[in-house]
Amino acid sequence: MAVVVVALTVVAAFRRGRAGPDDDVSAVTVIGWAAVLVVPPLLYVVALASGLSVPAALFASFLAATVLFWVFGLVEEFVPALVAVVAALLVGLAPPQVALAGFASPSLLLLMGVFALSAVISSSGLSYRVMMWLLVRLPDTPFWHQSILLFSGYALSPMVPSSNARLSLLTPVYVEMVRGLRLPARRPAITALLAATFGGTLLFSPMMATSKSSNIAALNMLPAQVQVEFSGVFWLVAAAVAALGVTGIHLVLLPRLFPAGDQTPLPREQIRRQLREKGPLRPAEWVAAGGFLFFLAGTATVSWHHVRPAYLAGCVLLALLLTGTLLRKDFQRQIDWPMIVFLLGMDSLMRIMTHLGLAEQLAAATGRVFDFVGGRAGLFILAVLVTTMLVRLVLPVTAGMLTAVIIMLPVAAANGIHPWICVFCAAVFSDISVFRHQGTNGIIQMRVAGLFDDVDEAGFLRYNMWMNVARIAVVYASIPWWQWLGLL
Amino acid sequence: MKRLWRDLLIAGFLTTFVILLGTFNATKPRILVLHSATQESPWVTRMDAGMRDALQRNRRPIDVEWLYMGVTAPGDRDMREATAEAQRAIRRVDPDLVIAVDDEANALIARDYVGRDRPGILYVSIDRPPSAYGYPGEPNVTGIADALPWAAVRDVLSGTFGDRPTIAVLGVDSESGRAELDQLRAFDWGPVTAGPADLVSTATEWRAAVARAAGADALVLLSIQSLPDGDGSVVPAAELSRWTQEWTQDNAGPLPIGTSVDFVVDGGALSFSPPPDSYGEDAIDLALDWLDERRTPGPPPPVSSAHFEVAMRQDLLAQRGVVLPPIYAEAARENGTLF
Repeated sequence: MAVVVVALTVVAAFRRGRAGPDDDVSAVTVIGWAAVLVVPPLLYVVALASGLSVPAALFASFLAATVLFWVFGLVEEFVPALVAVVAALLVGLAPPQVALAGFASPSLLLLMGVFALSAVISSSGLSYRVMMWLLVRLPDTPFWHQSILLFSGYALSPMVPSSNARLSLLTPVYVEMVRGLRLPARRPAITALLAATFGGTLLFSPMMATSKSSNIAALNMLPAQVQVEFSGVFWLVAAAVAALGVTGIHLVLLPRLFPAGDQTPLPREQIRRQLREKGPLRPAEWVAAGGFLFFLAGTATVSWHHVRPAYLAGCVLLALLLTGTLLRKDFQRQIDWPMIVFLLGMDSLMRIMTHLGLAEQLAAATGRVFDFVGGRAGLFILAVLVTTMLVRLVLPVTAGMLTAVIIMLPVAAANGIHPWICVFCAAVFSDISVFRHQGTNGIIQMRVAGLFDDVDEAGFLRYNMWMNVARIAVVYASIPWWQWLGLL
Repeated sequence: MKRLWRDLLIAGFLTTFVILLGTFNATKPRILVLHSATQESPWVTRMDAGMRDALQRNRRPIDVEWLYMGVTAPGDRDMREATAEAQRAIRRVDPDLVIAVDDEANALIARDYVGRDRPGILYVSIDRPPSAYGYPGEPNVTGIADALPWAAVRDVLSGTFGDRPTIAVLGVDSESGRAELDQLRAFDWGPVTAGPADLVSTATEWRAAVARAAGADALVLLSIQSLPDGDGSVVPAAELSRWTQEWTQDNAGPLPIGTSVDFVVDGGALSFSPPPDSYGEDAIDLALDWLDERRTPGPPPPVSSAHFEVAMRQDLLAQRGVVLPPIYAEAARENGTLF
């Protein structure tokens, strides 16, 4: 009773503080809150009644609340995962060392370092300078502008195994390019540029073992000799058709979805003058450039020095702080803390799921559902697609991929299909996002960073849908290549 | 209007969140582990480690609290005070299950709850028969009785000392010590002759009893506890173990055979002891089975454990000309207790 009174008092005070018209509250929001109130407890009861264990039923209800928060956009993106983690701790679903493991992992350093570097690259003016330098030298066509972002993302992919981190590094470049090109808001040109940025950070994710953290985790589930074979360049060789396919489709798709129209020519002379006026690199730019090159070189040579990229990012962060390039105020304001909480909260949520062994339970529960595959690669790919899409309805990219792999690996083994194909298909399909809450592949990050404010969001989402289809197409197109390689 | 509904629903969510999760937390199963000995006792440390291993495998949210009565050694602690503390803990925690470890916790506390709805009693490592506490047939009681490894001791003695070896017995005068001695006396030792048995309360008495046992082939040591010395100090159990081994070694006394888990660690040559970590794991597994009302309703049946672990120092045994079959050394090696 006391809790009810306190909650109502808080809400009443809250209402007094921000009384206003009903216009800003949609019916969908009201329905969303009603769903969040009713569905999780109901799901818990139903799950228990249908024979699920108490931990599984609890996790299902927490996950349902999280997904509903996202689907209905009820709160900021980073809040739902935090709600689930706190709830899990409250009921003792997992010990703190598991439930908060995401926040105690090297990922914290990686994200802090990369976000800080990204902020300094932008605030020091380095990204603006680089962008102006590139615009002056490269042909003044949308193809070249977009290609810079696409292939920069590709170049980062083998070294930075997190699409979120890659997106953070590319964001200042994108923002400065928009500024330099003076692209008008919500027009095809700016949307195409954002699509190229997104494509650069994401399209190459499944194409190498090191370009996605879940690829590395999934590779560890494979037999030792397969791990050795696919941990290097052979992954890229086997994925070549898909890599070329998505790149080709992306390049063909952009001009058609976002026609260039009449674009004012770039005022090159003015840009040259601005470059001259900026003079030589300032100390902050030197530090930012040094940090970026250090991180890039360090991640490219991990196999030699064996220092994890997260710790390299930690060193970069220290360098920025010790040199005074990143001050206390910048540390507070320029690092995207909500995004860090979101990503680490998701990480923690998935660690709780692993702790409870729910993926294995799910794999066991699927039983003989996949008997229809019958050793046919086409049907197996379909099975992985459906499984991954279903899992991704409730789980983020990394956990969705790994869960799909855990479910489908035994099916691959039973059907004589090479296990890497299972991993690769799950990696490609887990990047597919249809609904708003599935945007853990980077779309949520872009939304939180405000990158959608100036673009044609519907057009961008149309591009994303086309690329979803492209992903499926290129996997099927890879079958003859895999047969030629002897994988099928 | 929509705003009002939205705000009311947010209030509803917050309220439901706190009430439902709070209620779940308040009503989730609670276990109170009631140890007879102190937390520092090696037996307790290893049993707790076994329990924590089993709890780490458990995924169901439960609360576990530990209480250490510390009443196994003479002069350890006032029994009435320890009993009152344990009773207060049971009232405070209101556990679904009390895991009562060793005879003292069962004799002083657990037996009082027999026949009640709550809490359930899960006894572990009791050396007296469960009937001594009125447990058999009671719906709220189950557990693991401790069958001390006398058969293993007898086999070693027969194999080492020939036809009619004799043993002396020495232990501490406590509830556990008396229960162990009763179990020893009830065992069919033939062809071994069980000689004099001493339960002592001080280190001085302990040393005297070791000296008195000089004529026997072996000296079977029941659970060893820290004991008060004549000068008011306390002699640690480890010191008593080490002294006993050294004295019998130097004075061609009987071969000491320990039944404490840490006898050989502390300097002894040979021991056969119940495995505390295994007991701990089994106790938690049994408790979780009991608490799982959906798949296995009701308490699981009580069991008696005859498992034991071997620990040995081959050099000390060799000095006395004692050669055991290689299987003992291999069992000790496997257990990590071959020194």
